[in-house]
Amino acid sequence: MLFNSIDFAVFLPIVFALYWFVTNKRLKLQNFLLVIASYTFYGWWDWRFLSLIIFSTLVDYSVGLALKKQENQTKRKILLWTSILVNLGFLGFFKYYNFFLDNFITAFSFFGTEIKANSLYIILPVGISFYTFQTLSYTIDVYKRKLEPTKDLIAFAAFVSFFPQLVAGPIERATNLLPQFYKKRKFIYSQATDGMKQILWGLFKKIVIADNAAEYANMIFNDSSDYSGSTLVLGALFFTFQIYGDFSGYSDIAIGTSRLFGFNLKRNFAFPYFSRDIAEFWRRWHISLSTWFRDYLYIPLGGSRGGIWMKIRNTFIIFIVSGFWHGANWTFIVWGALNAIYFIPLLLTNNNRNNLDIVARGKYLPSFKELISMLLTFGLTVFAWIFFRAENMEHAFSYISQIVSLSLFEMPYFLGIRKAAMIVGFIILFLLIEWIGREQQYAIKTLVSKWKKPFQWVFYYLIVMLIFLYGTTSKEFIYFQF
Amino acid sequence: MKRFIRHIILFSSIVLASIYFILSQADGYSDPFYLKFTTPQQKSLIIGTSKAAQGIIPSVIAENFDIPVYNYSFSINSSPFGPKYLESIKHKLSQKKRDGVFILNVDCWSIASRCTEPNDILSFRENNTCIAEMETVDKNPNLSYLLKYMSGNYYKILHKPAVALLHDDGWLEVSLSMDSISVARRTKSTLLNYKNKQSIYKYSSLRVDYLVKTIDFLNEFGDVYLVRLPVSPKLMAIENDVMPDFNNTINQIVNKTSGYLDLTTTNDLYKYTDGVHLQKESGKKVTEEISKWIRNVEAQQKGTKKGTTVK
Repeated sequence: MLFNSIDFAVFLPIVFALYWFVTNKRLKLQNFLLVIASYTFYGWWDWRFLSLIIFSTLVDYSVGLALKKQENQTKRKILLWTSILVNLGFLGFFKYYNFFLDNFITAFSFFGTEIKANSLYIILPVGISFYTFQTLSYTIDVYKRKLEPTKDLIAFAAFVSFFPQLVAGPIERATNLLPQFYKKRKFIYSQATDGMKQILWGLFKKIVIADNAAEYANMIFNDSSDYSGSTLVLGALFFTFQIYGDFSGYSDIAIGTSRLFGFNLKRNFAFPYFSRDIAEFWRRWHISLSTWFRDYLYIPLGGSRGGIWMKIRNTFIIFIVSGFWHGANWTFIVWGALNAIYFIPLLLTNNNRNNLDIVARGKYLPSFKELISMLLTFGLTVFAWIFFRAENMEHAFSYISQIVSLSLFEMPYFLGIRKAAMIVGFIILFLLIEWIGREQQYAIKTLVSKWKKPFQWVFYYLIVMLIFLYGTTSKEFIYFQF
Repeated sequence: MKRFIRHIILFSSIVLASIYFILSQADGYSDPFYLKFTTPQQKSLIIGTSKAAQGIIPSVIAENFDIPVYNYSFSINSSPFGPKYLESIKHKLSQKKRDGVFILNVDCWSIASRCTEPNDILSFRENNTCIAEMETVDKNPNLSYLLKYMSGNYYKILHKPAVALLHDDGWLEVSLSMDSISVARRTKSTLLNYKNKQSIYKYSSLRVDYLVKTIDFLNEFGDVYLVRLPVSPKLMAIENDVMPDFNNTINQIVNKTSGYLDLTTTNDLYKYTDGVHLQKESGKKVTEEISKWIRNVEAQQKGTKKGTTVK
């Protein structure tokens, strides 16, 4: 079920009404309802893959309980690896099987050995990378004794499958989300209206910004050989806003929806395109994944505590794995490696934690230096996105080589350039609102809070109307495929 | 909680009322087909693809004949002859009177399919279009059309793009720049598009059967006239390649109608916006030609039988 669909517009009020009115606010019943609602939400795509979620839930629930009882360190390790192998096994099979097979065959044929192997037609279960990482965090935290395992299977199933963030995050930590299923939830008006505002802003980002930008990004990337260098630059920029609007829009809707049910999810984006260096960008982009890799991969590998080579190795590992997490394609790996290359100079010169605070806090405008830093970081990010969006490495290189040509100085031209100009206007408006609201959790949180109520309503009404008038037909979220 | 529910209901009501108001403002500028599904049932119809939608002007026929004819033509994708278009025609036709006039625009594309098996009815290209899916064709505002087919384009209701205007009588008036560079650019692109179609579109005997069924059905309610509209010589060459014996095919069924007018013999006399569609002024001239021809045929019919080919 898509957040930007009529189905969800019907589903959400029904679940909301049942949750607050019919369950009589009884915790167990509410959790049970959330499990049923979440399975319905997921099963809307393909009910067959529900079995994976249920199996994963049962395995991690049992491993958690077994870890509590077990004191023998070797046996505890075996239990931990059982959970890791089951979860990563599913992920590996569904997401990476054909990739490894194809590369294995290519590698052997390079040395003159022909291997005949059949690749499988495998459908990737929606959101598998997200819920796999979420359940893994539970087992690892229980193993490290950072978290008490739960005996409440329903609460655990609700934690694994919680529908607002099930298919595209934020990837929640058991330490944050699971305890919320044990506590009695209370309906708070301000929390609910805040949730509604965040949903509205998320829908605007997704439907008006991302989906419209996608039309042109897809058109230009799909037939990139037909366009001038300047048009290809525009294509890359459209994709830059498409992916941000799409993914951060999803996160906003997920967080806002959770708040309607009395839950607080982790923040996933913090205005990343206003970052002054790549290290800051990665503290602000897909925060739940970056921190997951930091805590469960980078730090166990030694983090930045070792020598220079260890720092470089660990940085490359975390970025390449992060790229690979996005999909079984060399383009994602190169995207990750490129970001590592951007990041390493900052790390080696101890400049990776220079920009911890939000840019130009308390000011209307950034300083000239900040502006240049932001533009430079944005430019590097746009360049990296070309690899992320390209179909394959050949496509990425041909796209870049066409940009670096004399046609870069031609006037950009493509079909529908007039509507595109309108979309550019929306992107500028969007950036302006994001800039004004950059010190908040999401851009419009307090943007109009000082206005009189009727004016506030007019503001939200205008956003709804923009979504209605300028939205495109409902499109899937990009991150569903990861 | 009560306050929250109250606010949500109030806000949603305002939003829904606004959306309804905006949707009810949809007109001939908003969408090239919308008004075809909002106007009342009609006694006389023009049937065909976008060539007819733009090239046959009901008001010109009305000037010559004093007959209100409605242009119920769509596009090459939506309205080739087949079960779905026939069904839609049945919905649109007021079946109370029997003195209607029906002008059927025929060309090689409207009796061809672009599927591997040209007679595979389940793969017909119009199966998933508004023609196939809209059962209500005379309701104003037609919310089901607006919600299903205009989704993603609602801004056009307010912006009113000036290029295309669908008139109340079904004529799609297209106003494009006719300077030689613009025409050449559009013609190049459209002809390339048709050249690609050349290898994909195949003659379908089932579509011809449905053309006959359409004629048979309309014959019950008036006189049916077949017309082949002029096209640019370059498109003509493509059409001749696709179906060299197109006129023979039509001549085999012409006796079921009041006549067949092949205007492709006068291709050079008219202007085209893109090599395929008649420019407005040329459309008026062509419609006048058609009107004159119908008047002649009617005069002849008083003394002779049906089935006259006029060139």
